[in-house]
Order: sequence, then C-alpha cells, then structure tokens
Amino acid sequence: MCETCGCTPALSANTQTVEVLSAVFAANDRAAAHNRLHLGSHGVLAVNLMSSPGAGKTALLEAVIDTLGKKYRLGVIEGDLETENDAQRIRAKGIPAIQINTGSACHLDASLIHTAMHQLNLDTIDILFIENIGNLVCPAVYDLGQEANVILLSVTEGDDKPAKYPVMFRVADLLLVSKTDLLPYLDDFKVDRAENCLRKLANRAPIIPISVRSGQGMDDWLHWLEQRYQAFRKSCSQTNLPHDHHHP
Amino acid sequence: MFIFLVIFHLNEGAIVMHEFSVCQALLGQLTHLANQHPGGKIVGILLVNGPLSGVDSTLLHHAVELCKKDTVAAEAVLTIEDRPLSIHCRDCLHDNEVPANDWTCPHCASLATEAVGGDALILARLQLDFP
Repeated sequence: MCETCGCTPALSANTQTVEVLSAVFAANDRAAAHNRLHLGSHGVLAVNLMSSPGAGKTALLEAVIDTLGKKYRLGVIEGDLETENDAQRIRAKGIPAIQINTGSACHLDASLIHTAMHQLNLDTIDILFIENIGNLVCPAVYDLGQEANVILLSVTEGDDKPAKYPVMFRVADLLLVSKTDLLPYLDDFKVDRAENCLRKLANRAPIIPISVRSGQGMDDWLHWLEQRYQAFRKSCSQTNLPHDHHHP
Repeated sequence: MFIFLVIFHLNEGAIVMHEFSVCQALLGQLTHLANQHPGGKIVGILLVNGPLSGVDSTLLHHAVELCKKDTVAAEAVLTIEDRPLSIHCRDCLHDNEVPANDWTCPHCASLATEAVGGDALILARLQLDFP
C-alpha cells in the first residue's frame, strides 16, 4: 500500500484507490440501532451485564428478581458458550429467559440479540437483562442495542482490572464491585484502587460495592436501576414512541 | 514460532474466534464494495486499528490470511496500521496521544477527556485493479 518507500509493488496504471473510511463493526452497529429502536418502541429498558466468568452475574439477576420481580416485569437473555443452566435458574423464578449458546464464540452480537428478542413478548417486559458471555474483552466492542452497560468486577479478580482491560471498563455506565462479603479474607483488593483505575479511563460511572450474600449495596443498585428505568420511560414518551401496555 | 502460535491459538480459542468474526464482517464489507466496482479486483486493503478497538492486529492479520481464500480479497495485500489512542481535553482543548489505560491530559492533568482516535477498527482504503 505504501507508495513512498516502495514496500509494496508500484501501482499499475489500471489501479484505482477507493477511500472507504467505515468502521469494520458497521454491520453490527446497524443491527444494534435496529434493536434499540425496537426496544424503545416497546418501552423496554435493556441492560447489558458484562464481567469475567464467575463474577456473579446470574446470582445478581436472581437477587434482582427476588426484590423487583413483583414491581417490574423482567426478562432475561442469557449468553453462554454451552448449557441452559443459567436460563433454567432464571426460569425457576418464573421469569422468561432465552438462552443463547454461542458454541465457541466469545461474545454476543446484535443479530443474536435480535433473534432472541423475537422469542420474547416485549409487550410484557419492562426491563430486559442481557447476561453477556463471561469475558472482559470482546463483548465490549459489540453494541447490542442496550440502554446501559453494567459491569461486575468481583473482589477475587484484582483491583487493577480496569487498567488491564480498558476496552471493557471504559464503556461501563455502572461498575458493581461484587462479592464484597469476601473482602475480609482478601487484603490485596482495595475498592479505591479499582475506582482510580476506572477514573483514569475518563469514566465517571458510579461504583457500588455489592454482595448478594450479605445484601450490601443492593439498595443502591436497585435504586440506580429504577432511576434508569424511569428516565428511560420518560425519554420514550418524549420521543412519542408507541407503547401499548400498562406501566407497573 | 509457528508451533508456538498454533498452541497459543488453541489455548485462546475465544480470542481467535473474536478475530474471526471481525474478519467475517470485513469480508462482508469487501464483497459489498467489490460489487460496487464491477470488473475490479481488490489488490490492497488498508485497515487502521487502535488500542481500544478490542481487535488485535496480528491475530486479525492471521485470520484474514486464513479466510480470504475464495473471496473477493483472495489476492489482496492486507496492511494494518496501528495508531495510538488520541484524546481531546475539554478543559485545555489540547489533543494528545496517551496510553490506553490512562486518559489523563498530559497538558493539564484533567480527566475531562474523550477519545478522538485509536478507539475503532476502520476500513480506510482499498486498491482495485481493472485488468
């Protein structure tokens, strides 16, 4: 491609250069925009949950269902390489859950979400959680059409994860530092250090230390979620998107 | 080196798959562009990559070389230019290049900064031969 230093053969007279300048992820971004429109027209708040494997995403969802399941109509899309285990845990609580098995792919993308969305009745859902594949790299670069990214960082993983995985943590709208009931046993995890690493990515997202087991932080997290839902519904009504079901 | 790479790829299957799906997206765009220029054969592809794209240039290069057979890009030479992360400071209005995990403005130490380059994988340019 280089005409200056001659590192590639000179162009023939029949060669035409075409400036493209488009994102390689453009097709996914278009599909995500379509999902966003669809979710907005049904007034469904979509939350993309991302973390390492084992940070407690499913346990967090179970806790949300136990506390908000009667107030809001919840739905879940589960992403895993294999098994229906997580979807079964959600369904056991009476909540519709679609399992996506990606085989060996490391992330969900907008077209997978589109297919899964159409297996749900969006008219009967207020908040849709998308539990992404446990992975701190690839899921961050695939827009799914979500309204917010919630990232879990468990205290067993190390407090410098935001510095090691900036691609992921820079897109956080909320950081949940999970499993804080284990903090007394871990003298090397400091929530402040995790926060410093996140701030250095110019990310001002709130940080909530949380433990599903002890209940620490649950009120703050649920408050954030409800506020986000109310703000989203307000923005939906302001843009006059049709929504034809009752508010909770 | 080759053996090392193969072992690495087997152990890091998830990472390989990611670059392969990026590769598929790229080939989809190339097919679309080739259709817009009938009679042209793609001989050169320039991608511009940055540290926040989530895509590793070396792995993507390997993936494209493996996938391009029997596609519109079969005979294309792929070049991937790696660019650093560039930020714009909303306080002092300077632009600077910074490490991907420290967006502190080198000029005024503010963190009111935003990425203005190096945060995406861009298909910048194609070269087509018209025989």
